[in-house]
Amino acid sequence: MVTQYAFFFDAAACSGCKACQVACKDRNDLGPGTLWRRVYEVTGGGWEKKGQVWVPSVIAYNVSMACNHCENPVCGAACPVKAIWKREDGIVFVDTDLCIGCRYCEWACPYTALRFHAATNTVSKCDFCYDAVDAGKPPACVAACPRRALDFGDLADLRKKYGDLRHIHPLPDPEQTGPALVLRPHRDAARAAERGAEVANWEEV
Amino acid sequence: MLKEWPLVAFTVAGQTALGLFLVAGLPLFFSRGGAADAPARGSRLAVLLAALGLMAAASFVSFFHLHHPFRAVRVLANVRTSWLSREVLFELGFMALLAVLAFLLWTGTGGEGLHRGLFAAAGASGVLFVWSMSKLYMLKAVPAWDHAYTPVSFFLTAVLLGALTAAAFSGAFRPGGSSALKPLLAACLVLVAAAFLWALLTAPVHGIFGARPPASLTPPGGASSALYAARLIVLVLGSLALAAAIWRESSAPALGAKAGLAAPVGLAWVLVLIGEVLGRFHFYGQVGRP
Repeated sequence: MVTQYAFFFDAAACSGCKACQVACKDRNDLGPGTLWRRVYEVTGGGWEKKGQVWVPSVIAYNVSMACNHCENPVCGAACPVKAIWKREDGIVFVDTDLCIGCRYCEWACPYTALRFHAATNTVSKCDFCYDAVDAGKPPACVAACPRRALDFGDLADLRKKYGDLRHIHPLPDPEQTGPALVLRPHRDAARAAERGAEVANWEEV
Repeated sequence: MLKEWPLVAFTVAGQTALGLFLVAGLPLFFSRGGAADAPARGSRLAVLLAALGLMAAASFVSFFHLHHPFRAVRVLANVRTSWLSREVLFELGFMALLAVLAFLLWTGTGGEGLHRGLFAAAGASGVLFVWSMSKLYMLKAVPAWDHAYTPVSFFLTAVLLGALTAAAFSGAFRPGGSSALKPLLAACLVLVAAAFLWALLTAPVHGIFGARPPASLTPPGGASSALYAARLIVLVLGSLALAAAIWRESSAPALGAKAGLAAPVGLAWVLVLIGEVLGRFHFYGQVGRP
């Protein structure tokens, strides 16, 4: 029995095609401006002097991120009306019939998973395609990835399969929320912080 | 950033209400002499009604930031973990205690001990209201808010605007002047200087002077350095108006309170209020919404 559903993301494999982002929007009928899964383009670096030679030190990789259905969801702790709750299998839901639209959870979530949804005038977020998962199918983002950079499953199983890395630059400290997330880093990620790499596509995400 | 105007109005008005209640109310309720005479009771009532009016206005305007305001009846459902629920709890407690105390004074019921006890309880509830307001913004996800800047700024705004509002009322509505006005104006001047210095000290945390926030998934806000600079300029102008009021009060005490003080104190109140509102817009501008 699954006790905590989780996503796996392979930053080394991701090409930044955004098929996951579009599949999510399509399946959940999200309008313009609402993204439950986003692909962040992380860039930085430039030129670096090594001895007498200038060499490129460019950082460039992608991070595909949705709600991480955290073990300690700070969004739920912050919500004044208890509109955010966690199912037995770890999936975190927003009850749009209870949400008052104060948008406080948007600020509280370090992964910016909560998104205002104009159609319901409430916040909304990834629900792990729970109906598909309950039927034994993968979430839309996982199914759409052409490079198999995304996977899903029980957090314990994913850790056995891929390791237990939960942080790469510029993701927040995982101790804040305990994200149900397993990562495989891109080779540039180790030096991204020291080279000042930042998200480059804010207008998009 | 400008979309957060209901939160700007709510926080500034709520903090002013607490500051006015404490700065003007403490001497009235706890000074020797008590409330035996009618003028003292009238002054107490005026302070309570002004604070209650400000709180009522703050509460009303806060509904404008909700997209489903009619569902807000459940807002106390998560007092156990949500600072937003706690803020509303203490806000309602503060308002209720203000209303009960005002009613007792209005009807002339209750003894001095009861009045002072209710004043202390209302003060504690008001302080917890502003403390909860500070804590709800001190989120680990928002480094710009998650340090002493937030509570210090909020309580500074409360005391500063509370003291200035009390001084403005005193200067405008007491033709004979008040013996406490000069020290109150001097205290306001010190508080404006403190607000100015605090803004300078915390500037690097907020991206001023070339400092950059750490990389994260939280989008950058729209706070501009121009807004920050405008606030500092307005605070300097406000302190000049306060200095003019102190000078007038010192040089011509007989004339001062009658006509000479209302204008500079009123001007200082307007300027400092504008400064605090600009500062609050800058505060919300630190963080963008996705």
